[in-house]
Amino acid sequence: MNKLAHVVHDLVTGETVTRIDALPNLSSLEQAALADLLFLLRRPPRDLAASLAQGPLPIDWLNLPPLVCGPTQS
Amino acid sequence: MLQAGQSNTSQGGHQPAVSQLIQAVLNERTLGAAYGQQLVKIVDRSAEQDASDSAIGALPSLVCEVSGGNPGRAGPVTITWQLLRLAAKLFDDVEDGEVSYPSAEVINLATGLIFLAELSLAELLQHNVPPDRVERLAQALNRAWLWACAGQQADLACQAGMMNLDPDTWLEIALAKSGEPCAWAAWAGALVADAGEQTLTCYREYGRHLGVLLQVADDWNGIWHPRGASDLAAGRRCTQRPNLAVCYALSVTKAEERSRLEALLAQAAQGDSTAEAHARQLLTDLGAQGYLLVVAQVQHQQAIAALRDANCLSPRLTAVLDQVLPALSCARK
Repeated sequence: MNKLAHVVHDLVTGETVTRIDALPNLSSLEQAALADLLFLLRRPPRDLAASLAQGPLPIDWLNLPPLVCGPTQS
Repeated sequence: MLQAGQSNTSQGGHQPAVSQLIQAVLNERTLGAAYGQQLVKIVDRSAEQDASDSAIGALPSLVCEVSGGNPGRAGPVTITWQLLRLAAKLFDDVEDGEVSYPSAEVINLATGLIFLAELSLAELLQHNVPPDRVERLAQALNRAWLWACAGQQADLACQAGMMNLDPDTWLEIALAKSGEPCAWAAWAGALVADAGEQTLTCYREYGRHLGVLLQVADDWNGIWHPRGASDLAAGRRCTQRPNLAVCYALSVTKAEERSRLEALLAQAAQGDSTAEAHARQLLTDLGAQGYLLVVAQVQHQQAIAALRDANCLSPRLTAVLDQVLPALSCARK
């Protein structure tokens, strides 16, 4: 995760991947995931959230109902 | 006991069974009935509000069904899962200062939900699940939630500034807090379906990665979902909370940029909406969105691999993964 962070940062900011030596230390799954999404990381704009579907927001499903013996009734 | 017809994969279908469990114990005396009524209200409210989350809430029954078992048999396991998630959320809200009722009352209700969950698991005996298997489920449940508590403790330590949080540590916490409980839920559903040991291990892995994926999605939504409550805003705890986007940015930036980000986060936490917008933009410019998507993709692929290993690449279980972070599904197209 830490090494992956530096590789992604270098890819996104367009800097030379100075930590190329870190790449072999990425797991095969990390390398595969990078390859899957490389086209997104390298192209502008960087605001991916603006162009990707967000879907519904999970509801805060645990808003408490009024408690029977809550402070207003005690 | 729970009636067979009351055990199904729908989220709201378990409410009568939970009410029965509560009433069977607490309706003996007036004092118990009042507390039981509060528990019923909370369970009812969570069922009303949980529609968007129904696949995760029904995970044990879903895995049981996909594994060829009778989902009704997994009903008590699913109820246990839902009650414990509810209790965990209440405890979490208390720790975050996000409850409008006295903390002591909320803690007492959440504690009651834990014992109710244990009672529900014991109902498996009435569904002809062998006692040694029920015992195994209970032991694994306790281990999983102990891990969740350990993760929460580390989370609190980070908030208090007692622990440095880099992405590796974030992953450890996410695995403990969310991965282990979800691993139990998926594994338990398969166990009730009489799955073999190798299959059980695969489902545990599936659940574990699903749990981490949920945490990644939570952090994504906390920064970039247009309708989300911003983790960066005043009153939220994100300046100290281990949001992965912030962990990432602080770990990759050079000293000068890091200082700027930290200053913006601190100002945002004080209610400065301009600083909040700048902080969000800086996270975006640093590539935090791309990083979260890559991390999510790793978890998604590991979950898929686990299903494949179980020879159970069910569209229903892959759909659960795809629904967690729609932006990832969109990015892969």
